[in-house]
Amino acid sequence: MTFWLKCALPFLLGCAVTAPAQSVVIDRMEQALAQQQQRNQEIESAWQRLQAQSDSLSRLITPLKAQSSLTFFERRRLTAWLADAQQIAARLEQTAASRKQTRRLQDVLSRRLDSLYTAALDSISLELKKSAAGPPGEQKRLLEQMALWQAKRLSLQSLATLEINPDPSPLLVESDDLPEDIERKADYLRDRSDQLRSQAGRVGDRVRQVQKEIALRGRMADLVSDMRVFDSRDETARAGSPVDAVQPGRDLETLGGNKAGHYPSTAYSLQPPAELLLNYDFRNLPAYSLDGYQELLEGEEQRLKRQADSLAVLAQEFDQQAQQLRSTLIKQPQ
Amino acid sequence: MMNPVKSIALSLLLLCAISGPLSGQANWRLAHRVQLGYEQDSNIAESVEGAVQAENLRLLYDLQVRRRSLSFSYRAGAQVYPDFSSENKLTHEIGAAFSRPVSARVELGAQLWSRFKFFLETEQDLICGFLQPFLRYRMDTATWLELGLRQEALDYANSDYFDYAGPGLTLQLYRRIISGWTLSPSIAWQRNVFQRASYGYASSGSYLFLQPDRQEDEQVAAGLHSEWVWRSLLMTCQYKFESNHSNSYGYDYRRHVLTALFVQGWREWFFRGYFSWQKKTYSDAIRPFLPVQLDTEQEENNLVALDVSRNLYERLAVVGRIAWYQNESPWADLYYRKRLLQALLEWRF
Repeated sequence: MTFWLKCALPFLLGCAVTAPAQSVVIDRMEQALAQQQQRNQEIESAWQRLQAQSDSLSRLITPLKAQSSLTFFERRRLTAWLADAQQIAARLEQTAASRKQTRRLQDVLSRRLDSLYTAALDSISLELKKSAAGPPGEQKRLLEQMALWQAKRLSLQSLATLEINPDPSPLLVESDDLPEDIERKADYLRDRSDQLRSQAGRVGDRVRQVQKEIALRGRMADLVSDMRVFDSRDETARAGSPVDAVQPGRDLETLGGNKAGHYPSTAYSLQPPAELLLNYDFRNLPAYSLDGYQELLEGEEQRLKRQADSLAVLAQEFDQQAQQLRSTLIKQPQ
Repeated sequence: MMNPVKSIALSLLLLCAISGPLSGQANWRLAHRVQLGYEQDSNIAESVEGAVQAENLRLLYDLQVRRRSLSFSYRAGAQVYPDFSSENKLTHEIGAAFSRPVSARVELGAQLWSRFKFFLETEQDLICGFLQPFLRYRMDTATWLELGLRQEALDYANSDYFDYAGPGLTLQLYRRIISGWTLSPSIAWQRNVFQRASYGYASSGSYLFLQPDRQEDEQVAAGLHSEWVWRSLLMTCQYKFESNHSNSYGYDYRRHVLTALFVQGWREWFFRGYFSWQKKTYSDAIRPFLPVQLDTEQEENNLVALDVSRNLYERLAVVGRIAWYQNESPWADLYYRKRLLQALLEWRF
C-alpha cells in the first residue's frame, strides 16, 4: 500500500460514514436559515413601515413647527403628532436593534451553511473519483447532488449581495478599551454629530431659499390670475403659474438618481447625499421641479438631524461608560 | 344666465371633491388662497366716451394642488356691484397638467384649462378652454424642445355668433443661458372655425355681403419668452408677433405684443408689476363689424399694474393694487380707458 493510499483510506472511510450525517445537518441548517430569512423579512418590512410613518409625520410636523404662532387646534394637532412621532421613534429604535440582530444571525447561519456546502461538495468530488469505475447511475446521482449544492451555494452568495444599504458599522466600545479610548471615541462621535448638524443647517437654509423662490413664482402667478380671472385670459403671462409650470424638469430626477421620474422615498431608497443637493444650481429649475427639490432637501435635512441625534446619544452613552469604567478601575485594588 | 345658488353649490362640490380626500395625503401639496376686497372701476361700461365709475365687492378663492408631475388648480371668483347688477358675475376656472417621462430624453404630458363665466343678471354666460397634449424632448441638460397639439373652443350659452373651435400646433424651445436665466422662443399655429357666416367685400362697390361659408381664421404667432431670477427678484418678459388671416373681410390683422412682469420680495413686503403693450394693425380698409369675441378677450389690451402687498401675519396679507388700461372696445380700432383700484385682504392656508 502506498503512502498516499494509507493516508486517504481513513479519510475516505470517514466520508462514507459522515455523508448522510452531513446531509441531515445541511437540511437542519437550511431550515434554520429559511426561518431566519423569514424573520428578517418581517422585521425589514416593519422597519420600512415605521420609517415611512416617521417620514409622513415629519412632513406634517415640520411646517407646523416652523410657524411662529399656532391656533388652538393646530397646537393640539402638533402635540398629538409629536407624541406619535416619539412612539414611532422608540419603536424604530427597537426594530433597528432587532434588524441588526437578525441580520447578524442570518449572516452567521449563511456562513456556516456555506462551509457545510463546501465540505459536502468536497466529499462528493472524492466519491466521484472513487466511483469512477462504478455504475453510471450512481455517478449521475452524485453529479446531480453536486449541481444542487453548487446552486444552493450560489444562492447563498446572491443572498449576501442582497444585503444592500447596510448600516455603517458603528464605533463600538471594545472589551480592552481604557476610559481614555472610550472618551476619544465619544469625542469623535460628537464631532461627527456636529458636522451632520451643521450640514443639516445648510440644507435647512437651502430649503428656505427654495421656499422663497417658490413664493416669488407663486406671487407672480397670483398677480396674473387676479388680473385676468374676471376679464381676458393671457396665457403668455401665465408662464409662472403652477399649473402651466409642468415644465422640463428632468435634471432633478437625474439628481435624485431615479430614472422612472419618482423621487426616492427615504423609507425605500438611499437619499442623495446632502452635498450633491447643495451643489445643485436650483436657479435652473422650473417651478414644478422646485417642489421636488424642496422635498428632497427636507428629507435629507430630517435624515441628517436623525443621524446627528443618534450619534450625540451614543457619544453620551460612551461618556457614561468611560466614567463607570474609570470609577471601577479606581475602586479596584492595585 | 345661471342660477347663483347652482353656481355656489358647484363651487362647494368641486372644493369638497378635491380638497377633502387630498388633505389627508401628506405627499400632495395643497395651497388655498382666499381674497376679499374692494374694487373701484373708473369705467364700468367700457365706454369710449362718458365713463361711469362703479365699486364692487370682489371675492376670490384659489386652490392649487400639486404632486410631482401632476398639478391641478381651481379658482372661483365673484364680483358684486351694488349699483350695476348687470355686471354681477361668478367665474370658475379649472386647470390641470401632468407629464410623464417615457424615456431618458422624452416626456409626454397634457395640459387642460377651462373657464366658466356666469353673469347673474344678463345672458352672457360662456365657457372657453383648451386641451393640449405635448411631447417634450430633452436635447441636452440646458435645452428642451416641446411640441404641442391643441384644441381650443369658446361657447356662449345663449348665442352661437361668437362660438368657435379649432386645432392648433405649438413648438417651443427652452434654453438656459446662464443660471437663473431661461430663454424660450416659440412658434404657434391655430385655426379657429366660427359658427357665424363670413363677410365678403364686393370689389365693385363699397359694401359687405354675407358669404355661405363660415368664418375661418388662421393665426400664426412667433415669440420669445425670457425668465430671469436673481435673489428675491423674478422677472419675465415676452415679445410675440401674431398674424391673423381670415376668410371674413375685415378680420385680418397683425399684432405686436410686449409683456413684462416682475416680483420683488423684501422682508414682509412684495412689490409686483405687470405691463402689457400691444399694437394691432388691421389689413383691410373697413374694420370688422363685430369683434372676435363679445368679451373682447382676443382684442388689444394694454395695461400697467402696480401692486404692493405686506404680510400682516404669516398667513394674512394686505394688498393694494392700481391698474391702468387702454383696451380695444367692441368696436374695432376704438379704444377705451379705465383705471382699477383694489384694496384686498388675502388669506393663505
